[in-house]
Amino acid sequence: MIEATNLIKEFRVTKKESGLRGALKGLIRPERETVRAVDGVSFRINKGEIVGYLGPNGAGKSTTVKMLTGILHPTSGEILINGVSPHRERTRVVQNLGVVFGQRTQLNWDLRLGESFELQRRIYRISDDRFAAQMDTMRSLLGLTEFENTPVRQLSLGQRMRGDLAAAMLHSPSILFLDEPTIGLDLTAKQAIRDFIREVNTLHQTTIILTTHDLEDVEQLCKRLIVINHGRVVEDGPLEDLIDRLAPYRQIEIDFVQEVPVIEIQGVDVVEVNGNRMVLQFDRRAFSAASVISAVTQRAAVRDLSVREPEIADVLKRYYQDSA
Amino acid sequence: MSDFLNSCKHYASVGSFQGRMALQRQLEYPLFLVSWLIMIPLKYLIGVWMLKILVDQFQPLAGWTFPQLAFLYGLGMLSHGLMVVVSIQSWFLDHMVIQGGFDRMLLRPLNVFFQFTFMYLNLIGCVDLIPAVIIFVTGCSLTGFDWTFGNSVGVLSVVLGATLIRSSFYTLTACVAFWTKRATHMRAIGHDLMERSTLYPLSIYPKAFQWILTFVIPLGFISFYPSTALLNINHGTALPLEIAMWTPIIGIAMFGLSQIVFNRGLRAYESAGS
Amino acid sequence: MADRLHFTAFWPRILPYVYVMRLKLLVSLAYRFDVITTLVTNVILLVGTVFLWRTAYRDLGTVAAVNESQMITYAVLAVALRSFFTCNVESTLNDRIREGNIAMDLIKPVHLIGLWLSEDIGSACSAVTLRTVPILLVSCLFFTIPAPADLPSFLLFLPAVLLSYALLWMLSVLTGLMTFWTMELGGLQNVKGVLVDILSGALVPMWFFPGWFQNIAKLLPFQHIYQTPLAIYIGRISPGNALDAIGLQVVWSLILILATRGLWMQACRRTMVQGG
Repeated sequence: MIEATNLIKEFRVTKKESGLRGALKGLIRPERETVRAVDGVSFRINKGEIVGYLGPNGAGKSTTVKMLTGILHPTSGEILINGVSPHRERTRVVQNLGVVFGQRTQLNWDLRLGESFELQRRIYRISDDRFAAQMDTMRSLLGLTEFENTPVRQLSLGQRMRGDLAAAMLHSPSILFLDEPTIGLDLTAKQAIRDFIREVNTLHQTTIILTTHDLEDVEQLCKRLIVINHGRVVEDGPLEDLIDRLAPYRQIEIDFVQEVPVIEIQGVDVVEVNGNRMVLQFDRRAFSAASVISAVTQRAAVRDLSVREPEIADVLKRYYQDSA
Repeated sequence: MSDFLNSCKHYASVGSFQGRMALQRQLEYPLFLVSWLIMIPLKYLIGVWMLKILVDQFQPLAGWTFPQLAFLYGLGMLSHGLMVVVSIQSWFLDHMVIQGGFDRMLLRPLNVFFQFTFMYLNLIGCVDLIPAVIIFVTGCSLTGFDWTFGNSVGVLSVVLGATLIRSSFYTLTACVAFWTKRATHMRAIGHDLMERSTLYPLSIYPKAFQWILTFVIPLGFISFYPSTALLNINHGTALPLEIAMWTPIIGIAMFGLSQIVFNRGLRAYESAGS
Repeated sequence: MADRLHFTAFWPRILPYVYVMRLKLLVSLAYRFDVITTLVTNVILLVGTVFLWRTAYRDLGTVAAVNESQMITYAVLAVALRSFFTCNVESTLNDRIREGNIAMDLIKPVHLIGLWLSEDIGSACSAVTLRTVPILLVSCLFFTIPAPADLPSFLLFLPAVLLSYALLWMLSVLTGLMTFWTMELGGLQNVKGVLVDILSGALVPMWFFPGWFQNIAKLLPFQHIYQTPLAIYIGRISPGNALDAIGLQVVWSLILILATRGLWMQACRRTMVQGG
């Protein structure tokens, strides 16, 4: 179980100015300012949850993750992972954590993949039996056998990612941090990773914290979302609730036989008009799709239509736009 | 007690495996080994040849004849070579800070200083030992150095101690990177300082510099003072010959200091991130 | 009027190079720490070399037609020159080729060699302010004011230095280009570095070496990188002979220009065929 209470992280940054004058000034008397990357973040994650940790770049995501994994010390606030503080008892906490960075590998670049697994075995003091069992599981879940003997530098991105995941899971950690695990992968590879994550969560009740920009990842895996922006938690709850609350609408895309008619119905908005095509949006708590459709077909002849549910993208749009 | 033993076994198994991995890594790139094999002996052998030319064309340098200079040079190079083999990561501490190498180490349930100290075995560094041995052996024969038991133990302990001094010095100076979070180039300063104070006798410098290189940054103990003791030369500084062989003690002390500073630096890194 | 037109056609063409130079200068200033540490390494080199020569010359007069103060001047200026003889083009080439980005570079509408030369000149200019001047100051304050033998010597020294830089720069390009054929041989840079250190007269001038070694050195371009301009400066090469020496520098420059062009063409062809 992960418990974060009022986390604050401040950094002292040097202000840089442009041009030759600014560069000279930076050389002789640089100005410093304090930046709050994380500003009072609190949450509680229970065992077995798969939580999506989202937010625009610079929102404080990686800073929080670094604090949770013990790499960074918070300026103030408390973190307890299974009752132990990662920055006070690092080795104890880390024994039970698995971490995968999408953009940086933890594997040894020049040697065979298998060697990195061997190293993990020694670092985490995994018994021979458990190691053999875990390797078998990983092999079957991730298809490692075909590239276990290839040097890591020769692996494709998808293979490398699978290797990283296996290495992170070898010591059966109860908590797994995944930082952009599907970045840069093709669709099949992405799906394989998602299946693996789900499998691991089902089999071992591994708590998983997933940081990602890929919304398909979120949709398939995360029951719960924590959204962070400007260093603060702005949303925290089950995915469906979030969608219900922030994007409580449906959209209908209609192809009319002839020109688009004027639609003036209370509570129904015209979102887009494109030739004979129109997109309408309505509050789904107030109307049913059927009633809106019948109201429209009464006004004009309809060739085709489709109903569109709101997506996570719609939910998050406001935050990502806000920071841009 | 068994906890401690288990811990030792744990660290030993990880350390030896990482050493083996490091060796394997380098064997993947043989071409680099070849170029290093050409350049390093060339550089240092010609370096000592330049000293000979100076002595021939001019005079013994600060009273040191060429045989004595060769002995000094070789002795200095032995610890340099050894350091390059076992401790070359101290040269890259600042890069590791920038590229997040310490993040990776912090995520492992092991002491970070240990991981750092034993992370790499630089096989290619053995190439540096080739000119070192050649020059030292030449110096020994030219000076008529007597390989008594006492002298042999002395040379061994000096070389080991000097290796500790060198690697600790690099680590200590590179630790600035923990606070400044950027490539420090302290390594270049350390390297130059050490070359100037171990390949040439300290007597060529004014007393003030000799004092600094003895009591403030004890680089004089890497090869100069031990050479004066082993060859029985009066070097003219106010340091009794007994202390001249204190190299191993100073090496251990500096290693301890480097560990303290490293851990402090790591804590600053954990507070300030990268 | 024609001049004006000429200028307006000329300026936009060299503008990118000027901008690159300015950028390099800014970048150098941004790294405060680097500035200090590189200065310190140069000072250490200066101090070490000067004291070595002082010790060698102790109570001696003239050796190999050079006296102590001349040799100290030589040593000081050698360090001074070294402090701004930057040739990053070598590692730039090495990196770009190894990472496969060189193909992208060839697409750009700027002449690559010109671009890299501008970058290095920019670095050299900033190095002069941040490193060379302080070193000369240190020398003036603590050791000696490195004065030239006489005015003609100084005047002849200047073109010699420019040619020296050109020689060194082209050698760096050649070494960098070799990466096309020896991908993993990052060590070639180091080999060249060692050769330059030894044979250029930067540490110990050739005239102290035995005859056979001097003869070998004469056949190579290296000694023209440090020794020739410095020997002119201290007067060991009299102004009369200096023109010959500079002439040799020019000859070597031409040889290297041809070699560089040839290798560059080969390299480009290879990239076009193999795709970077």
